[in-house]
Amino acid sequence: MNTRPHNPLECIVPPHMLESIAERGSEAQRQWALATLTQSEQFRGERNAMTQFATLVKKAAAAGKNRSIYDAQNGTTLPGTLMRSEGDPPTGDLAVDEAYDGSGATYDLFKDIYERDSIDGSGLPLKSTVHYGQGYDNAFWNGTQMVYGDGDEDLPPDQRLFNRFTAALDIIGHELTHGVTQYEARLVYWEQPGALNESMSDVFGSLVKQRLRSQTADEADWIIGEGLFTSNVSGLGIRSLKAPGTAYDDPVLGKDPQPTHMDNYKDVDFDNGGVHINSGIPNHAFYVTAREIGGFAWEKAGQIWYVTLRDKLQTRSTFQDAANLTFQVAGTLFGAGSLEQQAVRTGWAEVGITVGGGDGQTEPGGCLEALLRMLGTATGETAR
Amino acid sequence: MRIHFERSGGITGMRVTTTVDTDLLPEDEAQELRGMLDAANFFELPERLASPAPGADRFQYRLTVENDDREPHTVHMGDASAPPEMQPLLRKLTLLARGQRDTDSSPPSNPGPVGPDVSDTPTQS
Repeated sequence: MNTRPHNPLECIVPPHMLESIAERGSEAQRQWALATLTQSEQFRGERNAMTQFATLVKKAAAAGKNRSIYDAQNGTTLPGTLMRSEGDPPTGDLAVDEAYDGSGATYDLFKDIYERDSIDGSGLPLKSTVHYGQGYDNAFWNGTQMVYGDGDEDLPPDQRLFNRFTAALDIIGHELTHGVTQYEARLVYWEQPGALNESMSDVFGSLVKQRLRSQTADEADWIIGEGLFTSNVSGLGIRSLKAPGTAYDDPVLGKDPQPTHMDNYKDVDFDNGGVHINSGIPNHAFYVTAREIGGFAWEKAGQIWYVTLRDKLQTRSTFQDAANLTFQVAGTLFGAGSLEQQAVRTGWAEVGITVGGGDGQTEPGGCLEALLRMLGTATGETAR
Repeated sequence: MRIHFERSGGITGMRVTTTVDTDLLPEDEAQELRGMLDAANFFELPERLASPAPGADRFQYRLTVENDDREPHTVHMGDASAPPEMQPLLRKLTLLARGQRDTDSSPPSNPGPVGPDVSDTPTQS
């Protein structure tokens, strides 16, 4: 008997039961079933398949690409002044135009390849703010928009280390992907789930760049943040999926601290438990998977990773969970024992994780009972 | 008073640290830092200020203040969770840490209290 308290919405419930309720239940039951079917995590992948259900749900018309770029004018108030809207011509401000093009290319990857309409899957407007802060050597996702600094523009050229953060297309893709993760797996930003969250952003950020350059897995450099460093820095970029730990080695910035194997997992107290450090491990697993499959990495490896992010990963998923789930998804998409599935196994093995081994966190509970109790409550009956 | 400052996270995941000893500063600078700590009510802040808001790639800070008068006090916070009154202090310490980094030929130093230094240290010149 499972004694762990469950959110009933996380239970495994047959979709046909919810559809039936949505069609024939009381008003309260209908509302609940409709809400569950659109939002509940376990149906993330099945919503598309439930074509009958689509007629029962009011869907926002797919808005498509809808970009707005703002200028914070080196302050920290968001979003700032609107500089460029969807369809407007280039402004001549490099940061504005890079944010516009980069978020467009990221939107296109998710739409053209993975059939996803923007961050939320329903055409969420893509907002970016550039020229944020002073000497702000960072870019971030704040839950609703992307934000980019200008690097250390306040320093004299011979001391500058960072260019503007829109200069690297994969950084733009990285930030936007945090939004996708927020709407899908919602991986908590801490320790292993956080490192998986970070890795998803590096993976899809890299795929945006690779697709734009039409590069195969062999041809790609697999570096994140190329072009971010000034010539004063000894380094290619901030991270490497192909060779974690080698992206930079600089007298001032230090050395790339990423591990490439579970043996070197860094148990640290900073960076939310090292989410930008330990992401090297799942990053490398993806690289190896893509290398083993060959061809364009966004087509098969990227598909496996995307479906896993969209349908399988949960807030507390660990690396072991990701290994098991990507393997499972690869089997579903390409067949059990397929080359693609074997590539996934190899990818994780090379970073020290055995598919099917270890201590996964994802366990559907026996909570149908809890759900039915909740359903009973919705009709006004007394719950146990 | 010694102020240990560490900034981590951000999209680059790089760490900058600095330790400021107010006894070694000009009095007006020392005064400014003490004033900033008071304005932020630093010693009353809890050890962890977490932001419930979503977001990613924001900077994380760890600030430890040691004073002969009292127990060392540490506060962990992020750009999203730091109170507005803390922002000027975080900004100043970031600039100090960066200034030190620019003139210091060694990689980010081990902050001391917790956490191993994760970067391999290149040989110092």
